[in-house]
This record gives sequence, C-alpha cells and structure tokens, in this order.
Amino acid sequence: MLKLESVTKAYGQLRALKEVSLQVDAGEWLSVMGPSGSGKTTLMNLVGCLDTPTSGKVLLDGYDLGTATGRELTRIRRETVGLIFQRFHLIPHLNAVENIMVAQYYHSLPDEREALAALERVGLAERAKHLPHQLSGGEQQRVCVARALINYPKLVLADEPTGNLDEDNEQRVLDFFGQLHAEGTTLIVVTHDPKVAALGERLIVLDHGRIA
Amino acid sequence: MARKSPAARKLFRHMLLASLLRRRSRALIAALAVTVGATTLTALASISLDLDAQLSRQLRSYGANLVVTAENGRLSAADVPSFAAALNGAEVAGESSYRYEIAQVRQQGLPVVAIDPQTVFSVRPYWSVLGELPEGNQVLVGRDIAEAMQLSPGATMTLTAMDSPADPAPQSPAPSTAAPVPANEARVQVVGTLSTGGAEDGQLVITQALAAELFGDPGAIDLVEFSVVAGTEDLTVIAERTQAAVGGSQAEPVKRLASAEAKVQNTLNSMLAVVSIVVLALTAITVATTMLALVAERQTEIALKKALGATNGDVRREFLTEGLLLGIIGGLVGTLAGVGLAALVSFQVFGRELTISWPLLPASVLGSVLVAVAAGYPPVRRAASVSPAIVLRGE
Repeated sequence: MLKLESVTKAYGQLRALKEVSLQVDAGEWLSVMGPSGSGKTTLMNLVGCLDTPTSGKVLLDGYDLGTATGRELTRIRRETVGLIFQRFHLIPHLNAVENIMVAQYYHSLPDEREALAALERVGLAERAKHLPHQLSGGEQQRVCVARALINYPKLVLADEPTGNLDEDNEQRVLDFFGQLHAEGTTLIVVTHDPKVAALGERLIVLDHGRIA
Repeated sequence: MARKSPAARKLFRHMLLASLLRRRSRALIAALAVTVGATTLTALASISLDLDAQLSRQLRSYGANLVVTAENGRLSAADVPSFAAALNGAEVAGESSYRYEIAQVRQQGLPVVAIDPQTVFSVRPYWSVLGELPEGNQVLVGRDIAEAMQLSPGATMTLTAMDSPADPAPQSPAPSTAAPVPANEARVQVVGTLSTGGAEDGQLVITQALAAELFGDPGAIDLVEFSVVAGTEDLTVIAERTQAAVGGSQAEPVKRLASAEAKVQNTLNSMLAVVSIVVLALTAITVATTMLALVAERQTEIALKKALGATNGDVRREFLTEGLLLGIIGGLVGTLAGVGLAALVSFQVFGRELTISWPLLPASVLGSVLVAVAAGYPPVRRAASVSPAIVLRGE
C-alpha cells in the first residue's frame, strides 16, 4: 500500500526526515509516535500527498508521489487518502451533514443520503443539521471521521485523533478505528498517547527525523 | 462532470452564501465599496453624458448661437420657416429676425435696426431696456445716441429713410455716407433707452412694420438669429443643414459662444474623468484589501478544502464567484443610486430633469462586476496558493 525508500525531506538547511524507509501493507494499522519536531507531521504530509520528498521515493497505491505534479497529488489524495485531524477542521458555517458532503463535492458528487448514512454510522444521525459550534468535541471528531471515510479511502491518516477528546469520546473513536481496521482499511495513526499507539499492529517511533 | 449536478450546484451556492453571511461585515464592506464606486461613476457618467445639453441650455442666456445672413443682398421673412424646418428636431430656445437700415435724424444718419418685439428677448435676453420695447410709431434709442442727442422717453423725433446699406453688417452696420434720397418720413416717439454694452447702444430700434412703411420692401430681413440647444459639434452640423435649406443664405455658429461652451465642457469632462479614475482606484483598492482579509481569515478553510481534494481551480472559482456576486449586488444598487444622484444634481444645479442614458445602466453594472472581479484576482491567487499542509500542523 505504502512504501518509503530512503526518503529525506529538507526545508532549507533543516532536514525534517532523514533517509527514512518504511513499508505499510494494505489493511495494516500503523501507529507513529515521537516527540515534537521528530518529523511526524512531515511524514504525514508526504504520505498524505500534501508535500513531496527532497530525495528518495514515496510510493502510495502504486503512484510515485515524488514525480507527481501538484494536480496529480490532489487527485491521488482525493481518491486514496482520508484525513482525520486533531482539531477536526470542520467548516464553521456548514452543518454536520454538509461538512461531509463537502468531501463528496470535491471527490465526485454530493449525496445527502449517503452523507447521512455516514453520520448514522458514527452515531450522529440526529445531529446532522447542527453547526460545528453546536456539537461537542467528541461529536465534531466523529463528523471528521465520517468525512474522512465518505469517499471510501484506501488509507486513513489520523493526526492525533484523540488529542482533544475526553475519555468516553476517545474510546468511541478508537472503537470505530477498530471497526475500520477489521473491515480492511489501512490506518496510520500519529499519537502521543501510548495507549492509543498500542492498539496498532505495529509502532514506529520517530526521533530527529529518523525511525528509532 | 459531477460538479455540474444539481446537488453539487446547490451545495456550491450554499457554501458561497453561508460563507458570505458568516463574514457579513467584510462582505458588506466590499459590496459597499462597489456600491459607492458604481453610484459615483454612474452619477458622473450620467451628468457627463447629459452635460452637453445641460450646458447648452444654460448658455442660451448669453444669446443666440446660430446666425443666418444672406450671402448677397437680403433674406426674406418667408425664408424663416425653411430655416426653422432645417433645424429638424433640435430644441430651439429662441428665434428672431432683424432688418438693418439707415435713417436720418436731425441731419444725422443713424443705424436703425428693425426687430420683432415679440421674439427679440428669446435670443437677446441680455438687452437692458429702460422703458419699453417699441410698437407702431415708437422708437427705442441706444444709450449712446440717447446721451449724445439728449433723448429720453416721451421725446419725439422725425425719422427719414435713407438708402439701405449695400452690404449690411448684422451686428453693427456702419452709418452710410451715401447721399440721402427722397424717402418716407415718420414722426416717432421715444419709449425707452437700450443698453447692451454692444453695437446696439449706437442704434435706433423700431418695429419691422414701421421699417416696411419707412423703407419699403416689406418682409425684407438681413439677419435671423436662433438659440439652439445643441453641443458644439451638433451645432456645426445644424448650421450646415440650415444653410443648405435656403440658397444664398449663410448660417454660422456664433464662435465666441461655441468655443466657450466647448472649453467649459472639456474642462468639466476632464475633471469628471479624473474623479472617475480616482473613485475606480479607491473601489478596487477597498475590494482587494477586504478580499485579502477574507482570504487570510479563511486560510485554514481553504487548506482543508484542498486537503479534501479541491484543486487550485476550485478555490479560484469559489472566490471569483464571491467577487462576482459582490460586484453584481454592489453594481445594481450603486447604478440605481447613481441615477438617482445624477437626477438630483441635474435638478438642483440645472433645474431640469436628467435625460437618462439607458445603455449606461447595464454598462455600469458590468463595469462594477469587472472591477470587483479584477480587484479580487490578487486575493484569489493568494487563496489558491494556500498550502493544504497547514491543516496538519494544528493551526
């Protein structure tokens, strides 16, 4: 599913990732840990088609991201990757179901019924018409999860998905990840929480741009 | 393409309107800038387009702007309707005809102008008459003659017809030095003095009926004056048409007035153009800075949309559509307000209703839209350049 071969990413003189090699198989759940500045976000950017490597190769679902144009990266990201953010990033003036439909809109075709079904799956059917500020943090994160999954991505990238949640909501989101994993979705979860990291099949720890 | 489906269009419209409503104060500022710009420019353009006619009307108080004389010999009163017909729809504020003769008074040859008292003020509103205009056997005496001959209203004198000038100068025919020939005489009474500051101060003014009695040749006239509401260029065309109407006639615009009119008009138009450019620039700057602020505020939202798969083209389309919408709203409101303002100015300054130039209205709305979209383009470029990676940095 994903293969990094001696990937280096430099920002000027600063090398955020140094000669990183990594392989993630389809259906695998990989946890990524590491202190601040260790290169976790850079790794996510590269895998999520938001950036390209300075050297080395990033292969995602057969595509070489290093040689892809900006437009191609957008297309690969749209069709292959689902993103879950620590801060949810819901559009404040759209309600829950519309936030999900936005992902459909940029992918292919907005379908309210399908978006409502996705909300139902994360237990928020009755909150579909609520604006983000009317939802709790846990509910917002579940909308974010539903949005990430609406286009059936092959790879779900989650950046500190439980970082802003209380214990109950954290558990609900993690249970949901368990379901996705059981269904065969590839998961890469960046976390500071060892308990969350332990749920993955494999854990890598980044330190100063290298896999420790 | 999926984006063209009804559901996609509905969501796009909703995203757009919800986004504008959420930032309604900024959207209002941008729309207001376009409105003010459109109001000012529509008002200035309306006034400018109507200025030619307005100015022409105002300058009619300075007298006639088209004079017709005979190339050789004299004109006839019967020619006047032909001249009037040749004006062909142009608004005529005044029209009067004159006959020039020489008469002997107290052994002295004096220029006489025969007028139509009913119409003379319509083309010579600047005539200052102390007393009354002449009727029948009455005479209005030019101020210089009145002083030199100590004539005042009520005085009587005998006018003796002399030979008419061979080549009459319309405004100030020179006294003839030709020997007097036997002519009719008339005892006339002075009814007033005329003061114009011009040639008329040295003339005697009588009616054309009395002139016919004294000098014969009824219906003979030497000069027809028209006060036409028309711009400098139109007036030249009208003059050519009028001249062609009667063979042997010569029609010319009064250059002194025409050039003054053109000068005032050019100055005003230049000033309006400068003000328009300044207003246009201010509108564009306000729209651009407001939209830049909107882009800065929505940076995370843009990054998220790109992270979800929006292309740079999608982002540009959204912001350009917002600019388009603001341009249409501001343009429509501003154009209507501009016409209202122009009408008010026209009424207050020129005392008449504005002649609305209808093609100006869609042009103004279109111009507003173009300015809003063009001014929004740099912010749109900035929006498209937002990196989607910022959503992963927890910003």
